Amino acid sequence: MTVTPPGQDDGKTARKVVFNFFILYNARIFLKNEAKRVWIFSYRYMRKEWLIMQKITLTRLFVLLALVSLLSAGCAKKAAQDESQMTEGTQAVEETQMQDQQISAVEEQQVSDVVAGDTASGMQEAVLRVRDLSRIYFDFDQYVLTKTAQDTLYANAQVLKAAPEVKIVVEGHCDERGSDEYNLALGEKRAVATKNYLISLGVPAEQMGTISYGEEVPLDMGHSEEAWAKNRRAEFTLQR
Amino acid sequence: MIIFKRVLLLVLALLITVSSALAVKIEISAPGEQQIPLAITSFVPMGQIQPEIATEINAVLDADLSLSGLFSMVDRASYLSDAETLGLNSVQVDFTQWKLLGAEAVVKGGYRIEDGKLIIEARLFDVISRRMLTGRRYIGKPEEVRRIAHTFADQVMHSLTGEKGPFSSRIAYVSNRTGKKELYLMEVDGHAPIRLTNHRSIVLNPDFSPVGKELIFTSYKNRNPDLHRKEIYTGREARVSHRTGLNIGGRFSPNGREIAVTLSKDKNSELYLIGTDGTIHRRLTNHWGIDVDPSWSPAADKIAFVSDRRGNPHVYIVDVDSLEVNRLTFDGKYNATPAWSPDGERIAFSRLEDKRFDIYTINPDGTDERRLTFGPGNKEHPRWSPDSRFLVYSLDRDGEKSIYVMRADGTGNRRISAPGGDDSHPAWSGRW
Repeated sequence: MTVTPPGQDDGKTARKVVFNFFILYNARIFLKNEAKRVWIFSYRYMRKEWLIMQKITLTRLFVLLALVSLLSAGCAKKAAQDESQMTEGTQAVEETQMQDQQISAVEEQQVSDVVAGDTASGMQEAVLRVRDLSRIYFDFDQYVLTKTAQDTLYANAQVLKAAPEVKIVVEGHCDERGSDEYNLALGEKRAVATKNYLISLGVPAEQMGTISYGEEVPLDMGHSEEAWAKNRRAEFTLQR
Repeated sequence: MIIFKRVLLLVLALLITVSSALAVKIEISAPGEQQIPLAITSFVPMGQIQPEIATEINAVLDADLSLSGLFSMVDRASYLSDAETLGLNSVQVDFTQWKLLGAEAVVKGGYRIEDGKLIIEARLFDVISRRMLTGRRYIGKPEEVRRIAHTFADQVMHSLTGEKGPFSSRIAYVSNRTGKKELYLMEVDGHAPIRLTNHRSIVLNPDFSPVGKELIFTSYKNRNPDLHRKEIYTGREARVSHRTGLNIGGRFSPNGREIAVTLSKDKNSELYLIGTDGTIHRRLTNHWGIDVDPSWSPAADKIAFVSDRRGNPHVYIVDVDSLEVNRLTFDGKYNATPAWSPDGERIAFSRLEDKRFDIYTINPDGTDERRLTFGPGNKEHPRWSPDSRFLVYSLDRDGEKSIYVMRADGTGNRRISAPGGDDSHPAWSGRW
């Protein structure tokens, strides 16, 4: 074991130290007296190494912190510089337009900068609207879209097209009657039919996944016609 | 959850050969036909008295042998003194007493515990001809009482019909007792249920491998209906097929090397044959309709399945080689969950009639359709016992799902799953 000079150290030494220490610490039980003396000597040696290594780590930390603070200060200054340049630019454009075209009035709109914070709230809004996508319902043993379903899907399509970055899953469900396996396949057909209709309304296919739950996840646990009608559905959830 | 009791010291010593008294093979075709009046006596202690052992043996034999359909039970209250004497061979039995009671067969036996081992002597006697029909000595652990008793019940059926009973096998099923649908395993009489999975999602539709102690089933654990496998003793799990869309209804071929499964990866539910490693060997159906629920013929040349290609779900049969499809069911508007019996003679399925599902059986050529279940509730997912004489199925009644067994003729219906949960999708193992 050699002491590596500071600067050339890497994480390896730390691991080596710990590993060797572990071995020797456990081996000491089996060592005879002379060997024990050797162990004590090595232990002291390694402890020294460990302390040196710790010092190295601490120094590194300080250096890193210093760098980070410098960089962030630099960044802040840079952002400020960019902004001031932008406003100057738009002002220049406005003046040119005023001079050149005096007959037709040019519509002027102030454009605000896009900062990280704004995007997040925009995304949240889009997510919320997608959560409000309405379910559609099917007749028994059918995956054909009724007129009502088609109207609902038209509205859903608008919401989806307005939030193209939000990915959803179309779930197909059935009521509890019938073979479980057959209902899994029927639920799949309902999900796929729904997705295809939305594609025909302009929603990108990549925005939607499909899954069938068959009769496994009923909305209404009842066993009446009303309960069954509520369970024969396609619904929309966010893709995780 | 893993069964470790598979020790060599196990049950089953053979011994005491039988004077092969083999009657004509008895078909359990109708209740009351050729039923033999049977008396089951309490097994006598041959050493230390341990009444629990005798009680357990008695309970198991009584349940199994009455389900067998071969016997009518002689009233225990009428037993005379010979019921309490140890009689291990025909010389030691007073057959006159049994004749008086109208019994034609008697089960007698004894038990003792020696060096921590449980030894059970079991005998079946023919009262008319005054001889032993079958006898066994079982050596095992004291906690294996029920297992030994089941094995003897299988042996009794064998001695009278030429084929062992199914009472030592297992039934896999799905239960939501933990709040989620998980895979469970229990004995044929519903005892010793064990939970096998911890997917905390939805587990469906298990099937036993015919060659190993292994199950395949559908699970939503990875947020898609994928086909999973699980080795029962090692507990190892793996996904067999996890393609986009459905990977459902996996059924092992009779030689255990292929799996018939429904995949919807091509945007439509079709039947495929895949290897146990998940690679696709063959596509079996090619139709815009739904094709699901495969069930192999024991000769592995045909597969029964459900398709709605003519509008409503019906059972069809596809030839595995030629891919020719023929329709099996014509009656009713909704036929599903087909199950081909291991002897190849019948196909069981469920039909929706008057807003209720009941179980029917039919010949593979479409003739001789018979209804097996009546009464309220939906009965679906029939599966055959390995000897083709019994069926296990799901009953959905009054909002509760439970598992029942019955004979292949529809009689002997009894519940085997414990109350207090929703249990469904039973699968019957082969010989265990």
